[in-house]
Amino acid sequence: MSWQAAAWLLLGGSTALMFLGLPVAFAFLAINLLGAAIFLGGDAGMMQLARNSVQSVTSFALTPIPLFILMGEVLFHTGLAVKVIDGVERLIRDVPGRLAVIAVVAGTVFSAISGSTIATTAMLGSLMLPVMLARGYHPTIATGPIMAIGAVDMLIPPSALTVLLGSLSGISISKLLVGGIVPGLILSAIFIGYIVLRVRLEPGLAPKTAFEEHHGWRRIRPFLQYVVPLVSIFVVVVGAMIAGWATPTECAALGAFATMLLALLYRSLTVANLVRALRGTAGISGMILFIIVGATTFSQILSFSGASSGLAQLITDLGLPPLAVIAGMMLLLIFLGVFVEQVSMMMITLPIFMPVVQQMGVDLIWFGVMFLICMQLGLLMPPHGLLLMTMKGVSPPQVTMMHIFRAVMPFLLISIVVLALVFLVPAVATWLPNLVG
Amino acid sequence: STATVFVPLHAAAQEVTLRVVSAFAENTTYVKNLEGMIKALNASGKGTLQLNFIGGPKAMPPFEVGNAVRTGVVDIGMSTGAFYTNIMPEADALKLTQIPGPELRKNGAYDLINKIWNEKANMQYLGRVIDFTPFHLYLTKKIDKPDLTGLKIRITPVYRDFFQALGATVVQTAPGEVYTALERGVVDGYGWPIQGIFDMNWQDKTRYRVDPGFYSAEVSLIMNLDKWKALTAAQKDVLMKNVIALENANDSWKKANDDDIKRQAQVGIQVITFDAASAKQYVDKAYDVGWTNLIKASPTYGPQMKKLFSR
Amino acid sequence: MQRLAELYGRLLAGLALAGCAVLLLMMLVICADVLLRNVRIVPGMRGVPWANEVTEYALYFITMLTAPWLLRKGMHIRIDVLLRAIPRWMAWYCEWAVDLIALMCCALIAYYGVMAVLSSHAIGGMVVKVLSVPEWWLLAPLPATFALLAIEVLFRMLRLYAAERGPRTDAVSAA
Ligand code: NA
Ligand code: NA
Repeated sequence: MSWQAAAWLLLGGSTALMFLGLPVAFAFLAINLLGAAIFLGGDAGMMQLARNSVQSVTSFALTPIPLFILMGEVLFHTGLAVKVIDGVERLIRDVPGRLAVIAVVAGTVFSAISGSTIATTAMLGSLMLPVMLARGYHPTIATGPIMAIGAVDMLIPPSALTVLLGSLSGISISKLLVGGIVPGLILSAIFIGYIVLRVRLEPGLAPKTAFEEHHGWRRIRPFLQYVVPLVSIFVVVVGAMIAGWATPTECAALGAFATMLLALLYRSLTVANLVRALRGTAGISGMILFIIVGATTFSQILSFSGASSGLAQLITDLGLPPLAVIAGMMLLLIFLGVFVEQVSMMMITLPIFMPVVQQMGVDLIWFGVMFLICMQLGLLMPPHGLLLMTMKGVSPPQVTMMHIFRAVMPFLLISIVVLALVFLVPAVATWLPNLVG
Repeated sequence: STATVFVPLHAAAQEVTLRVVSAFAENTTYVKNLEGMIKALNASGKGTLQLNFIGGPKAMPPFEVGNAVRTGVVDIGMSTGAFYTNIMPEADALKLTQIPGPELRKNGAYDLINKIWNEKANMQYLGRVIDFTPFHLYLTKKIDKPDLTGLKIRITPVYRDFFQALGATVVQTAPGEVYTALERGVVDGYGWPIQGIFDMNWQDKTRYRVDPGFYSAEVSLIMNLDKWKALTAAQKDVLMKNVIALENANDSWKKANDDDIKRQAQVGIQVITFDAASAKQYVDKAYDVGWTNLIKASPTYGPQMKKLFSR
Repeated sequence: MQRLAELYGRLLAGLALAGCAVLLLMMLVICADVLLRNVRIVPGMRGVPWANEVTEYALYFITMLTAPWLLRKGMHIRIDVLLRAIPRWMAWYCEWAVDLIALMCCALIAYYGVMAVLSSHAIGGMVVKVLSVPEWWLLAPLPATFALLAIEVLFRMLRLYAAERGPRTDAVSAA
């Protein structure tokens, strides 16, 4: 079979099955069976498929995925999140859209403790949205910032999806994690600027509300008591790596353990909420890992059939300048993000993108960080970006899907601007990882 | 006629294409050498035999190459024994050879290997594509005797038992994390062949190399036994001529190793040597540990292999 | 039948809970390895040499233990744009097609998984790292999981049969 026919069969077949409504993992598995029968050949090929599936998740590099998600879930289920929000709230004085600004700042803090965009969005959504709506905030200014900062969680380490991108693409995981920090912080800064400006222009969106002003010690105490220790988990984890105690992969376990230990010290950890956190983690990570079972083997069969190298060669032979190729890839990713969730996005594109990117010799960290921003866009993209669904799930009924779609638009545009910024000024992504080494 | 003896009727004048996978990535020297061999073979084997290189770990997980060859999912694999010990423990013995491939071919070692590989793994052992390349211990801290107590060493299965026997605390990391692990002191050293640390950029974080080396880095070509048996004499001839040519070209590794030794000196990697007695003790321990474990796992073939593989 | 489905659901939830325990243990093993490697608290204990491989196996077990439970909960994400765009009765028939494909897929993988287990058992394959484990022990959870998945697909079909004619409301995103 020619590589073109193989590409149609494998890529086209899996896409068709996905759109038929077959769960993504099963769509890969079904096409794998077909591909194994054709390209690996007969019973031996089918047994090899089963063996390769076992190998796909028996991988130390993937262990941070559940552990990072666990950090967020513990924060969520033990109620520590409330304390963080309280600590941030007392510090922020009277600004237009104050509660929305607090949501963005608290979300940035969460991002440094949680490796799960879902946990962060759900935490902020369930804790802050009711307050904002009760104080007369319009649903768009109440939900938009929460989803936007939830997506930024993916850029700021820890991040389960960054680990997955690194492990699938072969780009250094630790450098990718560090590379997300600057673009992530730039995004939260612009979000705050946008909220303040927007509310100043349209004060009706977020009515000024009275709040209890604290002074002196009372003002900073919750911040010092809760926010600083929790954020220092991040410092401890990075410190353990720098001090030579643990490899970057092992740090994820230290981080999850430290989060539990802190929750225990605050007397917020109970057997019941620990089990809830573990069950939440097992659900999200089991779902991701099960897709990996199907998708890793899919990409092996794609490669085995010659389709990967054929497609990569085809792109290279076009002779386009590297910047144009990269731009094309980013546009394709944004387009895919409308239909496909993040794990499948990586699984479908990386086997074809990576050989091309490596051959062109572009900076892999730069490419990886832009890939992350594209996935972050996908999280927010109507009609079924993950965080839009998460938001809808924790919202009271008066918030409609239309509110959520409208709310996310400005933040999508801001993210696209930052993507363009990284594209034009690669140092935004590469400066910090190169500095840290 | 004589022709029918060698050429089964159905295969007469038929060209056979065999599928080849590698357990090593496309940019490694092994694969480049292999691709050179495949090119030569395909030129000389027109109408008889052709090789089709499918790819590396992207197409087949490295630890599955052995099984894929055993079951005939692919015809030929390039792998190292440590990657298919899950099929038979004897695969691990190939690192313990102290005699070059061409000599092993003559002294009966290859016959023994093929007896075992045929019987236990449904494989034909074709030949060796790296030779004369010992493993070394690389360190960030100085030692003055063969004792690794208190040191954390990054290991692979090839020399885990040896370093543990020397008292090391062993650490497993992904290859991509070794650099950071060395930089931060998560590990104090690692084992690697004399050649190749520059490919990983580890020279920046390496201060010492311990001489002498031990064991012999091994990468070989293995073939599915049924496919091997189905080849005609002419096809086997084309294949083996090219494999043996590649094996004989292994002398080039000596030069590559010398170049790397010079480069290591240039970037300031110091050589730690022991006195003659300690050095002998160090190397002997490596082989003792290796053979003891192997003979424990394979009481039948272990002693036979030891006899033919050792000087 | 209702009762049977309920019991089966409880079995799947129990397996998922076991997966949670594996997750917690995996975290503790890595932490213990890091701690013992760097601090001499237990005499003679220098790290946990088998931590790395046990962690790898743990990740695989977590995946296998949770997958059937996730199917019961409708948490294996999918794309439902098309199902929402077409008439509801048509989407209902699509769900049948999807279930049939999933059933076939799970049954085939379970079958070939068993074959792979038998093949490995026949040659006595061992995975030798710090620990020595018969290879078939590591291969066996895969067909077991897919057998459980195949059974759950059958229960899903029963639920679909009983349901109103339209698309399911399974998860469409996550991560
Ligand atoms: Na693996
Ligand atoms: Na994060």
